[in-house]
Amino acid sequence: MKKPGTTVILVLNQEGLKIDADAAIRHYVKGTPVPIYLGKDATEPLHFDWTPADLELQELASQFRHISKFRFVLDNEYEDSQIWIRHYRTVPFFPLQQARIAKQGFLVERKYGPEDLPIPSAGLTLINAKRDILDLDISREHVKKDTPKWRVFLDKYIRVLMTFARRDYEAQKPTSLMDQVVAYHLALEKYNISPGDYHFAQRFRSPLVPSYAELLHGIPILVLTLQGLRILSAGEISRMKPSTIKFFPLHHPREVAEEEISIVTSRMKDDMNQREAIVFTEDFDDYGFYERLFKWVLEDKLPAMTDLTWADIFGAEFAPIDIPLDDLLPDGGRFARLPAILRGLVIPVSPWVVQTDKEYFDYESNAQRVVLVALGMARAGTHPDLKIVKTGTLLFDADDDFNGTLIRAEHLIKSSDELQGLVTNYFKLLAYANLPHDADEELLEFLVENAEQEILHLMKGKLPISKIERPNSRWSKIWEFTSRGLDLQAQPVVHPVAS
Amino acid sequence: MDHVKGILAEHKIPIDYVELNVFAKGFIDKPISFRLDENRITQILIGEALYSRKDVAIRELLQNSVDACRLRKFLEPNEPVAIRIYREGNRLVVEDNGTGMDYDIALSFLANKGLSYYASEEFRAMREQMDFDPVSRWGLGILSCFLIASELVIETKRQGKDPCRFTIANVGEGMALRGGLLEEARDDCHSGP
Repeated sequence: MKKPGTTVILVLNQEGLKIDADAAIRHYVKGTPVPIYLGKDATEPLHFDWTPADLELQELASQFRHISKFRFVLDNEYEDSQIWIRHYRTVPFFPLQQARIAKQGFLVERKYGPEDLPIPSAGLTLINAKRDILDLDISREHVKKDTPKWRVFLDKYIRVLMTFARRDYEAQKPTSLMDQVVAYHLALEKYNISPGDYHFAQRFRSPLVPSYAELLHGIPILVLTLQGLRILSAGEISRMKPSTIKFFPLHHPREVAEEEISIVTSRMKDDMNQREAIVFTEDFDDYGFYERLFKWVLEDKLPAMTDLTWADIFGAEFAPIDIPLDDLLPDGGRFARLPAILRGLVIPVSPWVVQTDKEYFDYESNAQRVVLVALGMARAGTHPDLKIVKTGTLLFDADDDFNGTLIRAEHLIKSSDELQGLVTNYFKLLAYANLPHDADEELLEFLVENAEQEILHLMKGKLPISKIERPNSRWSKIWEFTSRGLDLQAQPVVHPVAS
Repeated sequence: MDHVKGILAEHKIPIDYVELNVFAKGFIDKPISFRLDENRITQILIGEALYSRKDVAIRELLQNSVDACRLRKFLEPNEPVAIRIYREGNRLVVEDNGTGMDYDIALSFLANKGLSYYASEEFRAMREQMDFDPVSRWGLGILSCFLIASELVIETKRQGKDPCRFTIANVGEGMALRGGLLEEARDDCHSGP
């Protein structure tokens, strides 16, 4: 032995004789700065390129062979002196969310999931920590996650994800304010760094890693201030030193949200003061993210934070008025001079309180049952468990063309039992169509229109233009808005029967 | 009581200020030393329960070789480095032309489980100028070889030092470590094709 170096000779035991050195090297080594030759006379070093062509990852992919043409497609790649990251997405979409980590080119045995670190929702993430930026346990099969290094690693990793998300966001070239917010959140969601993500919110609750703190500071928020509707970051809102922040939750679908923003902006912008901010929140805000965000950003300068309701927005216009036709409305129904934007609609403004001896977890079907019972439209004996203990309030638009015609014809209607019955049923139908239901929308439109024609025929009035197509009606445009949006503030409250 | 007096003296508290009225109650006032069963600890560190795969020894040897090669590259930047692994009958050979060890270094790290050269003062002194972090850390990986081997032979040479050879066998049964300077030559690791 003349030159420096080391030779280790293992005299193999029975277990050792079964070892496949080639497979073992390929399993453990994912990248090496030193060439490795396999075989005493090998002239070419082994080639290492950690991709889904890796034997183990092929095995992973084979678990999905029942999915036609399943494969991993490289989505993003990043490398610097400390870290190397590759994101592969599954094609077709499959919610895999797995990460494999190597440290200094050697595989860490454990598989990682979204509970450990953010991983794109349909993807496989390969990470090689090129430097000593992770602590491993003695077996080197697990990354230690309770060490300062793990936080530094996460900080760096999240910063890389933020770069990916920023690139995706800019590629979409969003133009409208709403587009900008939606595109930004979609980009964050793709990389599992959305504040609405459960794991993410839990993982970084406290203390925050610097990149996540930066992400939170920079999140674009659609906000209405005295200066108008604009996008500000949480940091910029904090510099406003607001005295009040009001949250307005937007609803799906997109058209509904845009309508809501338009209504709130047009109604509120002139009455705001310099230090007031209305924050439009995304529907992902299930965990009170925005409230937590402002508590964190504003710290001791925390302003009053409240929810902005439709009642706040429409104020006096939601006040019921006494009209002699009130008695033909369903229980809880009142007329009101609704704002033009809600022309022709029926708006629930206070909830029904219902007692039941069953437990239901599905809001939609619960609400549909309550609506049927509340409007007296349920077939006898179909929902014996539901007892209405407090009637909600439904506002009918007194200024709607057709409703106005009926109000003016009050004496005529009340002089005819047949007309009275038809009008009573019409108002029920109108309410039903505006509340959570599982009926076919087209059928409902047909029934409403048909009822109007039948009533006018008996009143010997002119056949009206369809309610759906009337120029002063918001009906067709805002149908979804009422059934999915406005009614949420007046959802039935279901109480279990006290034992 | 001597122990208490010792503490007082260490903190320069005059004994007169303290009312020495302390008695041991419910326990024996004698130091208790803990002993570890070396064979059992060695068995644990070999890794039947530590590692999920038996071929982990290959990873550990490659890691050591990578570190040694990178260190040599740092010390002698123009020297090509490489690792070679091959089977020869019932033997698995892993060789590198890394920095190697001299007799004293090798003896020290082979005889003392849990001691790594990369945690040594000598290495730490160089580390700040290096552009790499060693993979090896615990100095225990070599023991994992005994998951697949009954005997381990290590031949090593450091620049300017005599080569040496060590043989480790019967690990867990009193572990026999034999070592000495190597007189016969061996084929040096090819540093490439």
